[in-house]
Amino acid sequence: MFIEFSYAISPQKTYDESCFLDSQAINYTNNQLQVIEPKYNEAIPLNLLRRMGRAVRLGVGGAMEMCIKNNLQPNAIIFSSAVGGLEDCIKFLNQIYVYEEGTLTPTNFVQSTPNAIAGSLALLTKNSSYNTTHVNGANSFLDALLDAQLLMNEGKTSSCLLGCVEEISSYNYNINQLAGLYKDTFISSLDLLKTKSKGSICGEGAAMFYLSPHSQNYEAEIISFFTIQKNSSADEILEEIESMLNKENLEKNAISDLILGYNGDQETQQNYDSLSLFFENSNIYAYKHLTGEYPTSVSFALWMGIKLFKNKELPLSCIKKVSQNIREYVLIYNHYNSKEHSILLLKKGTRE
Amino acid sequence: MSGSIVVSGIGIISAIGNNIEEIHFSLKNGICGIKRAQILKSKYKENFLFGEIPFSNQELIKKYSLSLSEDYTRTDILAEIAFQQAFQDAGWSHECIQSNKTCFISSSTVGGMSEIDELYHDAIHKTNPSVFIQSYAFSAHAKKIVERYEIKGKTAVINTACSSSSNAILLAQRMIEQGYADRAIVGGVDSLSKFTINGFSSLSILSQGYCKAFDQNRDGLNLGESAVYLCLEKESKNTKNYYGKIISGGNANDSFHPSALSDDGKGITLAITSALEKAKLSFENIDFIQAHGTGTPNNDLVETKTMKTLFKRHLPFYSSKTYVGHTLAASGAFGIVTCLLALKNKEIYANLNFQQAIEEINYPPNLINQPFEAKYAMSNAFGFNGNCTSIILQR
Repeated sequence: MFIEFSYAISPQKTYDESCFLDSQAINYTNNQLQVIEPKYNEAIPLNLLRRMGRAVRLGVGGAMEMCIKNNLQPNAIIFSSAVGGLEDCIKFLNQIYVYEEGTLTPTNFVQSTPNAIAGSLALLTKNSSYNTTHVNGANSFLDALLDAQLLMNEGKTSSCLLGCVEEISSYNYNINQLAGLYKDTFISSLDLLKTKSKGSICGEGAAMFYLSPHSQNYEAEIISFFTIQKNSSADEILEEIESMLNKENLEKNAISDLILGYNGDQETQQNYDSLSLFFENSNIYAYKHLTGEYPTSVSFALWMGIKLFKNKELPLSCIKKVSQNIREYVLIYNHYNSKEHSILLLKKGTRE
Repeated sequence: MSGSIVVSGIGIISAIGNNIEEIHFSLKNGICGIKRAQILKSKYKENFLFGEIPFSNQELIKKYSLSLSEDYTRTDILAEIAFQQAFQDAGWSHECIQSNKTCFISSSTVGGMSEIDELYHDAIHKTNPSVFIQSYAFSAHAKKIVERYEIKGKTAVINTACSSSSNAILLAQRMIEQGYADRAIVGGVDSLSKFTINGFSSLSILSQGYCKAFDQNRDGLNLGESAVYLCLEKESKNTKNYYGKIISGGNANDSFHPSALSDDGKGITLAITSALEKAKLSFENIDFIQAHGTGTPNNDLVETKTMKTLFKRHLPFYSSKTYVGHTLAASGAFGIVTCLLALKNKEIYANLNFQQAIEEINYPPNLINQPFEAKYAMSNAFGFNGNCTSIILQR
């Protein structure tokens, strides 16, 4: 599978690549990193934009920005989100409790369902093709990628829009905080990777990819990917990664760049440390000080991996170790809550 | 490779029965499970009828001798019951379930929102989390099953609103066809929740009485709850006693309106034609349809109009929602189970609560439970945001 185009909306100004890459990374101090959105001026009529819930706006807006700029008309739309439009969901819940199940307005209800993103995009672009949404927690994004691959393997689908949206709201921040996912004290987000405490900080993002089964002109090729859905030690993860590399006839030294999901939680960093040691000759990068932690953040890592191939400079704070200048294969490893692991192997594309 | 995937086990719980035999009995005898709700906590239990499973969470746990941690929501409990039944019905061992060639694909639209009071509390209070704090996600039920049964194969959870479990089945079929799995446990679950009841009520599409699918005087749907899982496997010389085959499916988006179908039924037409195309079948091959048939003015008009236009003959159809209400994510798989039972037992089920055909179409559903020999059945499921899916089954 080939990635022809990619686009990300994140707590950094990634929607404008030149901004993200040249300027200093933006620091946050409230442990909640919210995305910086483009204006979507040309992508979505203003009257529609106003009526969109936040998750729908991020997903549809991100997809439209990428598709309009590059004149893309996908044959399939596959989205992924661990929580979907939670802001709308809780707004509707609020209505239920405040009005004691009285006469409610349905907008929040309709937009709270995760398939509202892919559905709204289909509606806006009059796209009737294959349309589905994955909600399997932190594995949603790679599940959606597998769905795209299965569909394209059938030979009738020549392109697929793969999207991923995760939004934070004060509500799910609260729920995850109660569940012990975040730090107890406020920190500077850019210092996240230096912290020695438990928990991470909360983030969000939307990432879009335009996939094709055959391509001569592409940003990156997806060589292999898989998920593991249980508490796994570094040895178990490494065993799976080595077996993947074996299948692809690659030595570990072939991995020029390694992107890891370090999130500042000192209790769950061992797997990242072990991989850093194992891939001793690879460049190593981290990203969650820029995005915060969220279930499907591996979609941002994929976007960042593609930027590496395009020989773009990343913010210096992303670089944990530089060993070499050749960029050929990028390996991405991330886990969420130690239980959901994502592994993705990319090869450099033809287009810089 | 079409036609090679068989359904070798079914787990199901709903308002008309707690297992496949009871459900078959109710379908065959036209027993409707839609009633005044007993367990549900909502102001609307006085206004509307529901397809409620008539046991509280504690009663379900006792009835099925389940040993579950206290963070199991109603959705999680229903999923656990149907999942267990499915693999036991197929005779699959724990080893088989734990094989990395066995995938598990589920779906839910309500997820942990069945425990809505706790969710609301946890969303706005900063202390005293409820026991369900980690159980609200759409995928929570699936994560619990994965952990409990140590599933190692591929897992996915779909949410395409009311077509969710049909799309889960479509994905499982692709995974088996392309060798990513040899077997699949696939389906969906949704329980009654104040969230969906208020949602559908705010859209004014809940019926004051029984859902009168395809009737001239239909006035909306009844919400229901259900969990349905199917065991799918490649047909081999070892597969003996199975329910039927999953032949193909089509998925398309109506791209018209967030909560209504287009007049010309574009999404339905595309879903049906792509399912037929993939199966290399034509309209004449389909013997009956389990229609989406929610009982809303919009759905039933567009669905009958499209069936009449496409099939060019009056083929028998019914809506299983007239028995159990609209069970949302589980409804697609529920409809498919009724097709499999009908095909296997050489019968067809009545569309309940029907009196008068929609005048402008005059295309009434099947009204009598009767012997009916069929080879191919089709099951439709359409969801909010345009998600239309059609699945073809074979005896």
